[in-house]
Amino acid sequence: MNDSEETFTVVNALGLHARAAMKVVQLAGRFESEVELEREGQRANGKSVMGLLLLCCALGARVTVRAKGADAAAAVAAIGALFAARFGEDR
Amino acid sequence: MRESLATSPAPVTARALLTDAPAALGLTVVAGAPGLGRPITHPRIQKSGLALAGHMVGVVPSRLQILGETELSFLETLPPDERARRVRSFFALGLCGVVVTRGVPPLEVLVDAADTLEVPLLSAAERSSGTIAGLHAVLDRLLAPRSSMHGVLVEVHGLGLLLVGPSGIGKSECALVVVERGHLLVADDRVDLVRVGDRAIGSAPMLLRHHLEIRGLGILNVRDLFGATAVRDESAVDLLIELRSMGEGDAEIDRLGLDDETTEILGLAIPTLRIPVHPGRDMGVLLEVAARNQLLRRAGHHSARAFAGRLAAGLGLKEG
Repeated sequence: MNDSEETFTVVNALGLHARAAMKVVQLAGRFESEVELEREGQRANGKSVMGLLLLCCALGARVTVRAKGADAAAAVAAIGALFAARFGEDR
Repeated sequence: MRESLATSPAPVTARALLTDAPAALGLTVVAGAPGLGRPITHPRIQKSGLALAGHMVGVVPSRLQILGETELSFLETLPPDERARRVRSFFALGLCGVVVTRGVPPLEVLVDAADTLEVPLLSAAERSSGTIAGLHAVLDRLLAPRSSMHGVLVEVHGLGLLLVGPSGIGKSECALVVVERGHLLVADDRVDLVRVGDRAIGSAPMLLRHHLEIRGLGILNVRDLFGATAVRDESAVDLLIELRSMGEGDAEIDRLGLDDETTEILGLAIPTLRIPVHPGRDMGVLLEVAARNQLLRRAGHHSARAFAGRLAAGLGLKEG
């Protein structure tokens, strides 16, 4: 079991909206590790859309991504890259 | 008993009180606003008459302090210098908040002390007795042990079933099946829990209330789809059901139902079942029967033990 954790910033204009949350969930779902996102003490399962929406991460929000499992480091890095790529959006 | 699955929340402050107290209490901030973030840790107020008389023993700064008409009239009997000195040494204890009742405009000396020492000074519209009752009710609720969990809460035959298990195991699908069978959805994905007496009450966060996310169908509004009788805003957690995939830890699965396992939630021992899930297993029926069986147990009839008794009799052993 490996643990991995890193904090990322939401950089797209719309924030973590429904479609963006779905992308995170789909990505997290490709990893075997358990994935958790945390913003200001609120935690959500990274493989659940509803949970992520509840975090209400707007532009500029700092989100900690935590993973536990064999591919934990890869999961955190991949989600970080998705944040940095503005969830595939233009702005 | 297994360890708690839940996480814990933020402190209660005068600021929280202002947002959560019923409007009827007429609670407003008069002075000392920078201190609104001081934690209130006790669900009961203190009446502060003796402290104003100079006897500070027993004042707990993290309890809300109440100044009613009697206390204020006592203050007014004091010479101004002495009055200011007493009020200052009382406020200097680092009080989490002082409430003046009956909507009387607080004496200047109180306002000054509150502002200098950054102690929130609040005014309540009601007389002391009403204010105290109202504040106790709010504080009881705010200070009740709380947590939240990843899971799904449904009400089946009047019993709250909290479904937990890894993502993708089918918790939300189970909720949909029981709703389709006429039972109620309380919360999907995140369940907020508060302990009230010896019950853990679960509800959905406002944003998610009445909604269910089903893979392939998307986010559904259960109230719109099935009507107002298919949802409930809150329900007690009576039975915890851990869903797991077939094959994983099968040896641990209880085949007899003789052992009553529990899980700790907010200090309560919640009866717990582990149910393996696999395609073709009718989860609706299983959950309904789990609820019925739990109702029987509550009424004093334990199916598995009754059966063990019959078996013992058949084997020529003493029953029980």
